[in-house]
Amino acid sequence: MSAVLSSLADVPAGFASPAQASQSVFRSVLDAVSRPGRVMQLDAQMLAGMVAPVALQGRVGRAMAALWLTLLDAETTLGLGGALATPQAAAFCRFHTGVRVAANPLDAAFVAWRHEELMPSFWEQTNPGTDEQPQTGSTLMVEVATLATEREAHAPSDGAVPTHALRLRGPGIEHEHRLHIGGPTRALWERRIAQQRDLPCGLDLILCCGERIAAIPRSTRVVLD
Amino acid sequence: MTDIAKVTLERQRWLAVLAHAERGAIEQHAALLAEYSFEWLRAPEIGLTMVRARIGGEGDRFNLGEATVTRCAVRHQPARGAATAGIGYLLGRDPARCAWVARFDALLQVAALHELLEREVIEPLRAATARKRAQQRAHTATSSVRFYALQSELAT
Repeated sequence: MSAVLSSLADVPAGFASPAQASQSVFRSVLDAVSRPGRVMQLDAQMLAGMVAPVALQGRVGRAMAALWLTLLDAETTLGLGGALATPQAAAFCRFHTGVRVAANPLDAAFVAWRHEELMPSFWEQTNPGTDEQPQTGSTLMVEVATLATEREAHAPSDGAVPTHALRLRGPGIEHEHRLHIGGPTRALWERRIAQQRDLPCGLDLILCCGERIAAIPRSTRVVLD
Repeated sequence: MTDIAKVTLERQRWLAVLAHAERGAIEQHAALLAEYSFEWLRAPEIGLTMVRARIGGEGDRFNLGEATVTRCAVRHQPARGAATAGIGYLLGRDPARCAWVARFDALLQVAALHELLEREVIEPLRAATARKRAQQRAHTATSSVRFYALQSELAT
């Protein structure tokens, strides 16, 4: 029939069992954020059946799509940055979660980026919250090229993508964790480090790579190696 | 009327027929669905919706109250042509019936099946609902009281 009516038929499938999958993914996110520096592997069984929007395959992994389905709802806003701002991705999020997709991604409570498109200036312009209401600061969900803990970081980087080793200390970390992240530039990490002094304001970061996630909340002290 | 408006109106009509059909009536036709395959876009879920009405039927809007609604959406890929999506929205709690409505909606959008389903499913359901409503109206009419001495409030 007409293009207007068939757009629902193009929406990719969400979780096969939404209640269980969203709880499982949320638990992983909770663990990632409360223990920064740990890389969490999302449960493959929970992700089964979910089709990351076709327009985004290759640009985001299923972890990012799973985060959208879990963290977003009708009471919050989503920003899709750069190449992620496709009508199909917006339709996917709106249908399954009821979220409002913000016209300007920098205004949203949750903002999704691919690492190449997240410029340090965008970091600056995203809402970090206020001293009275620091919790209103946005959460960034960034798809990165590689994500590895100290133990996993054996393979040498191919050089095409900048890899940085971050040393993390602070709440949720007993002594120190090292995280090897390929994708975001040094300038971006420096911006993040500079924002540390604005605590409690700041941006929370969730890193996605394929079906794995890690998080660097604003309370974590980051040092570049 | 534009093509889209005509198509939308038609779809609203058959969705209304499906939604108002009694469980027993639509269950009889449900055997037709077995030979087609469907994929869940949204598995049946039960929730509350706020029903709104207008004062006097045409005045200001107000919240009438909350109603329990079951809803679901399915996708059907026919042998030829584009995939269609069917939706079911029903008052009350009935996931199975909701699934039948959504599946029929998806099939009715497939050009090859449209005629057949209109004839075999929608028409009988429409007739059955109309009969039931006529019966109810007739039954209610027997208790209607007319006050000849008082003027009607409505200027009809």
